[in-house]
Amino acid sequence: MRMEGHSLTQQPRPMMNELTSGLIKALKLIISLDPELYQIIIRSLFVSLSAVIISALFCFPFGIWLGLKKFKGKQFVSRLLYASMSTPSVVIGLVILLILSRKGPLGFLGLLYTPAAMVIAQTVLVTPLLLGLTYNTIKQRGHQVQNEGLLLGADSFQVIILIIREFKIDFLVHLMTGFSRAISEVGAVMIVGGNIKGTTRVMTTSIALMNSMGEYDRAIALGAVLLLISLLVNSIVYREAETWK
Amino acid sequence: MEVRIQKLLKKYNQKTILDILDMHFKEGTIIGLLGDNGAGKSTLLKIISGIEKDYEGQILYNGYPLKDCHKQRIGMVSQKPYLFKRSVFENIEYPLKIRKIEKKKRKEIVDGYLREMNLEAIKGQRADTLSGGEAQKVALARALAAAPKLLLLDETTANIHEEAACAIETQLKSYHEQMGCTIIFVTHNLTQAERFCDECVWIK
Ligand SMILES: Nc1ncnc2c1ncn2[C@@H]1O[C@H](COP(=O)(O)OP(=O)(O)OP(=O)(O)O)[C@@H](O)[C@H]1O
Ligand SMILES: [Mg+2]
Repeated sequence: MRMEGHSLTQQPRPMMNELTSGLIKALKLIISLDPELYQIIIRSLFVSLSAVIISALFCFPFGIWLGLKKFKGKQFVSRLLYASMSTPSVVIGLVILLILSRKGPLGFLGLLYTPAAMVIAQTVLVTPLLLGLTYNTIKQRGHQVQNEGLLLGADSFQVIILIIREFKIDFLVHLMTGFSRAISEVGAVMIVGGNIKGTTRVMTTSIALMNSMGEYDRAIALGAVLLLISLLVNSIVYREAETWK
Repeated sequence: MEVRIQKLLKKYNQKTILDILDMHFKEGTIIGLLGDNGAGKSTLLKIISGIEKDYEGQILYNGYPLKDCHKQRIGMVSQKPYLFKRSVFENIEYPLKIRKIEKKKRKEIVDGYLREMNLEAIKGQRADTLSGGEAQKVALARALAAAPKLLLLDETTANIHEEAACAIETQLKSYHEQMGCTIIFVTHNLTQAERFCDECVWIK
């Protein structure tokens, strides 16, 4: 059904048309190897992947240690961890902004509005998530592996390696969860990156911008690409997980 | 390795599980450990092996408290052994690998155990897909590969067919003679205890 008379300002355009023309445009953009588009995609991937990898280097060993260790207040730590898993990304963005701004404690580094600032913000964003997921996996099933390793004569370092190998599928899925959270968030990268064309513009911030400028088909085009990347990453990870099982 | 337990007290949530004044496992003997379900046999083995550290009292290994050099020489097959998600071969190879034994030598030792335990047909199979008895054999081979001087076996032959169990006893005997090791063997099977063990200890 057409909704004439509804829109008084512009010529009426049903949503469906917007979507299909967006998808067609998306295909055209992708095939035409539009340099700006590819730059944005690559920057997005780079920022989010770096953040997840940096975070994992810390979260996997520390989460394993935390999951295996018995200490007072462990219950409290795990509650804190679970609660911080859902911190809004804008809040993280704001905090990092304050730290990196010229008057902030790390202002002298001059990192604000650079990709480095975005990597830092997303690292902080995914760390509670990765740490919480790792901690939970190990708390439930890690002791058995640890004990078996110790019984066979492994030292602490060898036990950690053993645990990473035994739980590699879980860890891979955690990595993917972290990556999905990072690449799909807008708040943090918008605030600390500033969405500057050619340096800090990533997929989500461009979509937000295009939307506010009324460029719906470019926005949809980028949205489709974002979706495609998520699907691709997911299917690769699950295929890997299947072959490892 | 000789083990002496002195004034051991182990509780779970205020409930006393083990209360042993003095117990001695002589070097080079095979000791059968018997007791009802829930008597604390598995708990005692975990304490001796060093993975359970929350207890009162003292355990001496050759006269000394547990040290790293002892840990390297203690082997245990738990009641429900955990096998790594790798092939049977790689499971048995693991203790050799972390002891930095070279590849050729490792293969030799692992192949030896595979042959002795009749596991050659499944050496490439993923260990988490094995049957209960197969898993226990693999866990035993893995523990033996580390060449322990104190071997703790928690109902290791419980899931294994009578004949195969006898075969394993024979292998354990020959390992025991070769190494002069101490074996603590938990079992519910009295005939097996009589046949296999030098002496038996009952716990409450
Ligand atoms: N982690 C634990 N927390 C609380 N109670 C425990 C724990 N582990 C063991 N117990 C209790 O300690 C007692 C001794 O357990 P253990 O496994 O040592 O018995 P067992 O002699 O090996 O029995 P079985 O012959 O059935 O194997 C049992 O009553 C058990 O319920
Ligand atoms: Mg038991």
